[in-house]
Amino acid sequence: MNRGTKSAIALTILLIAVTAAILSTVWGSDAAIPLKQHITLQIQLPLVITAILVGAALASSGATLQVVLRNPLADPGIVGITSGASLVAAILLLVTPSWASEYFHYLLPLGCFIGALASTLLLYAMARRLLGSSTAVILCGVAISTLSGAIISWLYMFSDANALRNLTFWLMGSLYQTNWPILMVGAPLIITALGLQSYFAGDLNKLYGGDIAAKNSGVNVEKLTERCLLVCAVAVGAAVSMAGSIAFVGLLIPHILRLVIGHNNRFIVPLSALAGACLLLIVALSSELTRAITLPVSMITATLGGPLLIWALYKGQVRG
Amino acid sequence: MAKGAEASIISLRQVALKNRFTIDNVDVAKGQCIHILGPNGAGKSSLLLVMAGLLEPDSGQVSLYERPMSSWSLATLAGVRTMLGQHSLSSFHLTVGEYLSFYAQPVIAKGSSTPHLCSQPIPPLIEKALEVTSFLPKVLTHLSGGERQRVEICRTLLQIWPLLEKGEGLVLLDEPLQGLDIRHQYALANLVNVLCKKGNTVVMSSHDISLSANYSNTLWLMHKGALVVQGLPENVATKHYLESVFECHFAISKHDNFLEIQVCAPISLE
Repeated sequence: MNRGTKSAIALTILLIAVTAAILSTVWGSDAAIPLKQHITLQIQLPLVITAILVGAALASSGATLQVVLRNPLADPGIVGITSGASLVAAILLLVTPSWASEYFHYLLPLGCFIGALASTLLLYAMARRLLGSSTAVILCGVAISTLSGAIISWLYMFSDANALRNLTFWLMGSLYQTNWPILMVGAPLIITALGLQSYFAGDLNKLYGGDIAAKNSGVNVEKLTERCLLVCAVAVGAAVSMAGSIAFVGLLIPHILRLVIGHNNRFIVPLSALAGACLLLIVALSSELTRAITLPVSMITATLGGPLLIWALYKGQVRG
Repeated sequence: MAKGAEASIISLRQVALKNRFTIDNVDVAKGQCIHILGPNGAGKSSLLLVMAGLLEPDSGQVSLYERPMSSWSLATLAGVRTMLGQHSLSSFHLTVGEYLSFYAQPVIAKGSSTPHLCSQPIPPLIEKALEVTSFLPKVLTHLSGGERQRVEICRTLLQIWPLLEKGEGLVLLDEPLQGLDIRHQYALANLVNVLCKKGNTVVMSSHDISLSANYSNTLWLMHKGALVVQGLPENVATKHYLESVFECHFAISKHDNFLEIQVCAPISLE
């Protein structure tokens, strides 16, 4: 049995264990049965599903983006895809008229997808012009994030207190913002995207040797790049519509996995999804256990991811 | 192949790529070992890319095995020919063994379930010339330029190795000697010759006129996007052609079967 299979089994067990732990936090108490059922169905199940889907989408997209953009530090947040999506989410939160709020759970994923796609296209166009320089991709991401951040700051000035609280939660990421309707729209999108990312993973292996090597071995590089970016935009857009912008999951997970099981994307991409789901479930569990405060997710992931990014830069994993 | 050594593998008719090259009529026959010589910017790399089906010319007809190049899909091409491009840098810290395994599926897939090549030996013929086995556990980005080039050549050959062993492969190499030390330059030139003797076809570009003249059976001399002359090395590597193309003085002498070519000095451009 190789390391990939072993890791897959270990992660699956972890996933089930953490899910069980979250669900058991309610059933261990002595509240009335109907109340317990209500909490499980309306709060905890959506929480668990959101954590699994969002973690899987972000980590798997991160792994895909890193290879497609030839940059081990690419992450949906760092390259600006998340910020494009959250910009549109912020606009929708603030300006959706009351008559349209009924359709908000459709509008939100769609809007986030459009935002994610727009920033992906901008990134792709800029990265193609600056081809060969992997730091350029990161700089493009910084530019896109800065711009989105600036627009969101302007939006703050025109919003009331209630919308402001919503917005802040959104920008810091939260696993408690979803409800069943949003999950119903987002889940099929993410599951399809995850399937496609794993399907493309074999061809991604051929990109390690550069464009000519990949084409020589039968991969249509342009087509693959465009398809992967599109699929990542769908996955990240849907993830943002569920939980706001969550930083570093897409960087952290594939990075650690590569150290453990090597660079074969056939393993890295699906296992990233699994490990990403586990990570966010653990975050969810920790905020279930510390009932007093609901922790903003990005606070935890950035605490873990920030030092890793500095370490990776220090080790010279990105060249100019 | 019923037609034997005369079968045309690649043919180019009135092929032109804007600002790169224009070729009227040229054929590559089975078993040929062609070295392309020419100054920088003569169009060698573009010509190799067009012959590999990786770059579409603006006009003209390129055929591979007597079928128009446009009718071949990239996936089918990957199984019949292989090309080494000029190198690109990877910033992923993967091992050489893993890297090679991604491109050499047909050889590796049999029997072994591990994604690592380390357990599977590099074919002895390749190993003898390129000596890459000791690199397998090393990280790709930690290799020196020449070592990396040897790995890239190995990757290129492994892609169609089953075909090369049968003597039916087509290999295109863009400056494979770049970065190699003297010993490995000659070892590679020798490997290419061995492959051709088995019936494979190799076209490669080079800047080492002396090596190319002695290790090829056909020389193509390119200049400013045109194929100036092609033919047997002793007919192409002449004082007249070399001086007009490279704008340098040459001293050429022949001992037994060895062409000794020396560059004396650039012809002044005053």
